[in-house]
Amino acid sequence: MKPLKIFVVDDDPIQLEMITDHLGKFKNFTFQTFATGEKLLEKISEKPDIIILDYNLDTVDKNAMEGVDVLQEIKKIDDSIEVIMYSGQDNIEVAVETMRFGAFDYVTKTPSAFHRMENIIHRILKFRELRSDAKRYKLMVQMAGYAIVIAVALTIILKLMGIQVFGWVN
Amino acid sequence: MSLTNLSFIQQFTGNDPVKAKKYISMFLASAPGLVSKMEHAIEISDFDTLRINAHSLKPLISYMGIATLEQPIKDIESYAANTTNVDTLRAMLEAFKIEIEKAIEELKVKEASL
Repeated sequence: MKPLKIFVVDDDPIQLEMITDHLGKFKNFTFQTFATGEKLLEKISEKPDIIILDYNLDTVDKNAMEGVDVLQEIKKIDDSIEVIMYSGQDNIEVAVETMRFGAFDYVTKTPSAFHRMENIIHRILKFRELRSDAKRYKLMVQMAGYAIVIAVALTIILKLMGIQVFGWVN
Repeated sequence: MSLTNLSFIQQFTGNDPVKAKKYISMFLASAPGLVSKMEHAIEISDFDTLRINAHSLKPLISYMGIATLEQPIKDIESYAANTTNVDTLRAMLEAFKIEIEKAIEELKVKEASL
């Protein structure tokens, strides 16, 4: 199974260390960390599966791009990348704003954040599995539809041939 | 009475003293700088910088189990965002600084014992 590529963006080295330390116990995850959104966007062509993105990225550099702007850029570039917003703001309006811009979920920086993040990643994996199942079923339904059309067409053709050859009429 | 409680760090690191020490060291390297930036910010009435640094320090205080400072740091962040009462803000920051310096000293002892 292909490892899950996770990019983590935070201007606080302690947060980066704690997230990668906690999620690093899952052997199938690989990580890259970034101190700014700008640095992340330079590497976005490497197609991460999930990005954990800090909401406030202006602690070190006041002119750095804010998390919500980085989120919008990511979604413009590739809508299939799932983004988990991570913030010290325990504020429902901030959470709703980020979800409106396409974040998969929002986690507040508290001691329980790391377990929550782990659960969200598993939820993303489940969601992707369901999405791919749905695509497969849709394809199967389409194929079944085509098969019915072909069967009906064949029946009609055979009937017409029967009429021509044997003069059969229903 | 102890100002700090490392039960979260112990649980997070799976009681690994090397990892626990790493996080305490990172906190000790980061917190004094953030407090200095907050002090400087209030001196020059840069409330946005004060708010940003308080915001950064807030989760770290929780991780180190400094329960008595969890509400004060939230209040400083909130007051700095609204810049309603500078004198109150200054008093809050002074009281906060006294307590966090004590917590830092305590953590240095705990770090050395690991």
